[in-house]
Amino acid sequence: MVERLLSYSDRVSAAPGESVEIKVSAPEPGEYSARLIRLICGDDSPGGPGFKYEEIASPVAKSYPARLQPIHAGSHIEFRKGGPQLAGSFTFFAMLWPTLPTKGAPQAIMGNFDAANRSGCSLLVDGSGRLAVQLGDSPLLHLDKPLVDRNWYLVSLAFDATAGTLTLRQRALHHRGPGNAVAEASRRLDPPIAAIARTGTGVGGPFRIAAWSAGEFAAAHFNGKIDGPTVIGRALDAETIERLAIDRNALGAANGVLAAWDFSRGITGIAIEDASGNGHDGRTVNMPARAMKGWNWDGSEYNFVHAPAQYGAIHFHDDDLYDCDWETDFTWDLPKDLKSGVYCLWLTQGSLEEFAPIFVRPGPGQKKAKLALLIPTASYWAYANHQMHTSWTFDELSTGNFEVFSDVDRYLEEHPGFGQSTYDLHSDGSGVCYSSSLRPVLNMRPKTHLWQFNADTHITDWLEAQKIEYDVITDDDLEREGLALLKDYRCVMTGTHPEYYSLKMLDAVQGYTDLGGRLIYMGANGFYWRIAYHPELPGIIEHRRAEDGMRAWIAEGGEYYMGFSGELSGLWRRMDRAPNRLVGTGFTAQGFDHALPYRRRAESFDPRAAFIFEGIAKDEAIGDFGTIGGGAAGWEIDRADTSLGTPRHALIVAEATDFRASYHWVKEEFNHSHSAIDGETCPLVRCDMVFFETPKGGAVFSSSSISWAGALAHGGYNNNVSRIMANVVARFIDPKPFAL
Amino acid sequence: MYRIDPARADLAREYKARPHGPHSPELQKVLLILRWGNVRGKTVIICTKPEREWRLGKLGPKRGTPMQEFGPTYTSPSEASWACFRARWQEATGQTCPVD
Repeated sequence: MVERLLSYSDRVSAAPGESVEIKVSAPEPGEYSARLIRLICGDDSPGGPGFKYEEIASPVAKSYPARLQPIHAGSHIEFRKGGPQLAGSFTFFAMLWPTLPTKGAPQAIMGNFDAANRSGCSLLVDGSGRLAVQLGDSPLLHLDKPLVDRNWYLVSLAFDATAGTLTLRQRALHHRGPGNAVAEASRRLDPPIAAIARTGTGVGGPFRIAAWSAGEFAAAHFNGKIDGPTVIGRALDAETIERLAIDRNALGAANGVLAAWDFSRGITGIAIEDASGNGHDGRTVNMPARAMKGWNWDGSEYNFVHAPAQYGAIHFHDDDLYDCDWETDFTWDLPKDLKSGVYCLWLTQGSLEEFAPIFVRPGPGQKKAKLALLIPTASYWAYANHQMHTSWTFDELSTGNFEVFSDVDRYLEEHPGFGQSTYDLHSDGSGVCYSSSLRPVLNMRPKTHLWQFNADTHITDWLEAQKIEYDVITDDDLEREGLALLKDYRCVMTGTHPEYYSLKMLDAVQGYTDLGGRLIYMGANGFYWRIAYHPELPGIIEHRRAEDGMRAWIAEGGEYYMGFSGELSGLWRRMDRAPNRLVGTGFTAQGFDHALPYRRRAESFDPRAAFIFEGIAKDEAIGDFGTIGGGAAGWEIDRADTSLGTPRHALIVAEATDFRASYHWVKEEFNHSHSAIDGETCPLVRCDMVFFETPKGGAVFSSSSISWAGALAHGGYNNNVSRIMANVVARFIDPKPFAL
Repeated sequence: MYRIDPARADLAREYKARPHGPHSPELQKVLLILRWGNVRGKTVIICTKPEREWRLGKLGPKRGTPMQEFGPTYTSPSEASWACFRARWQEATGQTCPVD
């Protein structure tokens, strides 16, 4: 497959006067070119509005030297000072929960082996799933009994330099099957001095946990959990290893401890503490999962904040990726008079093209528009580089279609180093709970699948066509600034699928509507999942697929709390914050093979709602057209429900019903399994268009459909969906208060 | 458990006529069987020119391995879906779909 021109930026939201660093990897030698555009519409599909943009003159619009920049995926721990030095006798031990022992390639647990010069010593799981030691270029010494995935083991390696012996040992902690829980093997090295020479100071690479070195890079990444890795400067017998591995007090009093890493400390961050007092502190690379149950988790506590000692494990993956850490190719200094909008650095090299989107918000002191489009970047990150096609066993059953691999899908399938989304499974089958923006995000681009970013350009396209002034702000800004970001706007519009919200973001939008703001909910399945942004690290969110909901994967019991914040993750509706309270409707069903029109309901003739339907006939089908499913109500749809918090005075002004069996009711609503769960049998598979007033003169309008914005451009923007939106926007930016 | 009767040309004809539905209850059952489970190892559709051309293909044994394309090029999603249906019918029943 053709290689791609790739890029990302150090951030995607910026204000005039600020700078954005653009990082590029170009597959061909020579140069690549950059242009700056303000994006109007990214939908270049045959039935769509077309790819539309405004070219912006800029000093950054020129050619740049091309270079390849690699991505090094895989998480591990590294040490600033190189970690403990191995000289003479030593012992490694750790608790281990392997998740991909039969990977077919070595997976290093701990040590300083360097594959570039084949020196040093590391404990590992070999390609056949057996505990092994790699000592210099000696043949592997391994145990015969393979490790079983997702079982806890105490594993150890003892090297006695005087006797010249290596001893490997593993004990299954919860052994219930046939055979012995313990496996052990020793080898006498001949001559022993040769082995010692391969482990002395200056030999091997830097010490790493969950990987070994291959020159300056890490390799042989481990998949699974490691808890309490320890290095002792003498050869211990099995009895002593057992005692020290299980009893932290005994370990603290032991002699000759070189390093004893305690992952239950500082769980929120990336720092790794050496509890031995010897200062071998390190840091995680590529964000392995923390706040993970340790070997000693007993089920008495589900929140790591309350029992950190039971959450001393880190789950490493060979496909974790946080920050590509590429060199900056050029810096875009945003002019101080730059208009707010969706911008892209448009990069080309021969027939290859790439876009780096930047959302430009108004700068401090700049005049703001009455209307703000709140770009749901948190949801973009949740879906970043998703590979549902292959992560899921139920994707076709969910979509009602055979899988169609786009060029992006295929590239990500064939090039696994790009990190994944919160919809995916790691290579070991565990769920992906972090997603980063510091990497090329191939599905957040114009000319891609009409989902999230590119679907949201139907909104910018319509605003431009209507000549409605608007500012662009993002979830990333909302997380940083809270309500202050919104309060100056008369009206805020969401994107088509603002699904992922942190507490701060949700409080800000709720606060905005409580203070008289007007909110237009342009989509569906919004305000659904609870996430956390990292409090210090840029460009990364966390989400745990906790107890219920339309889950891409299922979090392990006891791992529902987010390491970034200590908050319970999962559905907002399970935390008394169902989206119905905020926007009147909440996720009720989805299907991806057709969309339907709405019909007006009696409430639409209430004088309170008259402005919405000005120019719309009584019996008109609203949105029996559109680029997303052929209708305005579809893909994911929401329903009003006072039991979930829909305000009692809310008007359900229009509805779409009679979806086919390919639409499925959301699973969090049926407490017992049965068959009446689809569009043909479940009356709750419906789409409710809702309007209601809020305190202090505010109001909310909800389309409750992801397909809604895909209908705006139909017939040259001369259609009843466009008309309703124009009516709503005109009234919502009018300062005249709504009466509650 | 529903089993696909490989002689049921009527169901195949129904899908061919209307690949994107709506479908009869029995064809819905057939499609659920054809779509159950992960697609690795099954025939899928590869879009080779965005919104314009499609071919059938298969995934490699794991991520990071090349996908294989095969067969003719189709110029509509419906044609590609029908070709994929026939391939899945073969994979699920062991017999060639009775409708060309």
